[in-house]
Amino acid sequence: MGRYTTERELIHPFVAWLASNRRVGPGSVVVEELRWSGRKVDLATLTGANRATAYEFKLNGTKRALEQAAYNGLAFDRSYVVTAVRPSETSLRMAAEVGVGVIVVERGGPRLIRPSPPSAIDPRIRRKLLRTIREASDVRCQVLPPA
Amino acid sequence: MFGAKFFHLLSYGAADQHTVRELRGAYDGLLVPGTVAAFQREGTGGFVLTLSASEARTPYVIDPRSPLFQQVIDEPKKSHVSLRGILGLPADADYVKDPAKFGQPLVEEVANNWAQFNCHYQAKAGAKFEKYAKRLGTPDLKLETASAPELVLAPYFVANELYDPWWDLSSRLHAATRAAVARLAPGKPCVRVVATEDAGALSSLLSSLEEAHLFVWVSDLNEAKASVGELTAYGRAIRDATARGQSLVALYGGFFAVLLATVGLRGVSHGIGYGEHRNWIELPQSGPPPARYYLPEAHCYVRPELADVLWGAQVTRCDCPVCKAAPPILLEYHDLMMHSVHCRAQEIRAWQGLSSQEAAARLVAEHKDFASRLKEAEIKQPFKEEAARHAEHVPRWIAVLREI
Repeated sequence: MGRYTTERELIHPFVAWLASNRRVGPGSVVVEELRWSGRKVDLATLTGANRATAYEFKLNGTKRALEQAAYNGLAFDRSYVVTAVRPSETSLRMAAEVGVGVIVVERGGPRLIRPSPPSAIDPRIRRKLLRTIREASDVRCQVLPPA
Repeated sequence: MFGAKFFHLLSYGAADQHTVRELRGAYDGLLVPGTVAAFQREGTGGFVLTLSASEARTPYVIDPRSPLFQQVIDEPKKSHVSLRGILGLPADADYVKDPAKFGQPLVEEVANNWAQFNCHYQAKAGAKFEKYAKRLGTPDLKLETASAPELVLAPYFVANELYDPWWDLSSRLHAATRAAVARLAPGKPCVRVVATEDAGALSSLLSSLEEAHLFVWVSDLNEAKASVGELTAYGRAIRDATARGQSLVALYGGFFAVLLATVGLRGVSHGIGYGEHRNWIELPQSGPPPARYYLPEAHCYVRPELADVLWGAQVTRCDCPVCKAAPPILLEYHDLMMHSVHCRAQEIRAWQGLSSQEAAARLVAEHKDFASRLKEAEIKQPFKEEAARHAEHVPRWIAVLREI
């Protein structure tokens, strides 16, 4: 703890870790603050194989993030909470109960504490989500200047 | 509007045209915020005037939203400036600090301005009538057949007791507006809004008035969060006013207001997808409602994902025209808004004609049924807990119905 002061600071080293672990690749779409179902998902990824994953970031006190992540699991193939401190055993039990994975960003980099089991998604919801991610990605391409 | 049938008013926002048009038949009339009527004069005018001229003859009223100017607005929006200009209210902060500065000439000027704005609304706001008639699918409509506002709501302010200087100013504004309307449009009703922050003060404010028709607004009365005491005071004020022969319509309200039909409330206004309560201090703020699903079993809004979980477990069901087509999570924003209004219309149809005791008994049965289905549902515990939290206000409403 003490290394990060805001959730946003977690995101960039985390995305680098996703890339280095080939969880996202050249054909993937990565969207920060994806508008979905009346709220924002902190980070959404969509791979070239159309696998959608949601990540909710929280420095500590993971209960709220777990709630959000549990709802993400209704539409995303996998759903994670990413935190800067290892969650309590109670939180880990809750994560298991609602089918949410947990990743802790430590000094040495992110570490997978609990994998997210794949969710079975209604095909209609899935189509809507993929469309939403792709549209959000297009918007960003139009708005952001070239790197 | 003050008749035997409970009157369902939709508060109309500038972004709601498409939804309001599609919802024709699911509401009885429109309440147009003065800010929208003033700033988007031709667009709003064209829209509401065509609806009033259509076969549905949709009536409308314009809310002067005058409590906006009961405070200093640091960064007034263009709509605030427009409305202030139409009312002729001074921008000087001294008037906010001391309502006694409103001399009678200024009161009469404001009253005349507002009466003219309402009574000449067709002529001044009808420039885009043809455009909106085409959008409505009825290009042959004629502006001459459009209606003026059903009644004029006089400018008003929020007051918490009879000796509050804002109460006196509201009384003078109502009297002057009524006189101005009588000159411009004889027979046109001019109705007062009784606005207060204190549910406990409502009864004494209402009983001091001789008017038979009134709008009421308890600022920031969140039906789902208010205590039994606050809601009981509100309900009793309406019950007692009804017993005196006064007919009341709530300027803001949700399902609890529908329940108050059991003690005589004649109607309610709410926004599309929100606007069931409003704090007058927050009037300068505006924006679209969040995307939420109206859960009929708990009579409140929940996140669409929770609704979807409950829908999948058959804890909730809805036969409205929108929900027949798709589960909650697949509803687009527009659909969520439509669903909320259809639900309110259905609630009004289903809960009218009951005594407060009958309504309480029915609410008990409904709440037990929801709790039972939730308990038996095969859904994850956190979702169950969140759903149960969304229904925590229902026992309070039952207690209030039994009290009043």
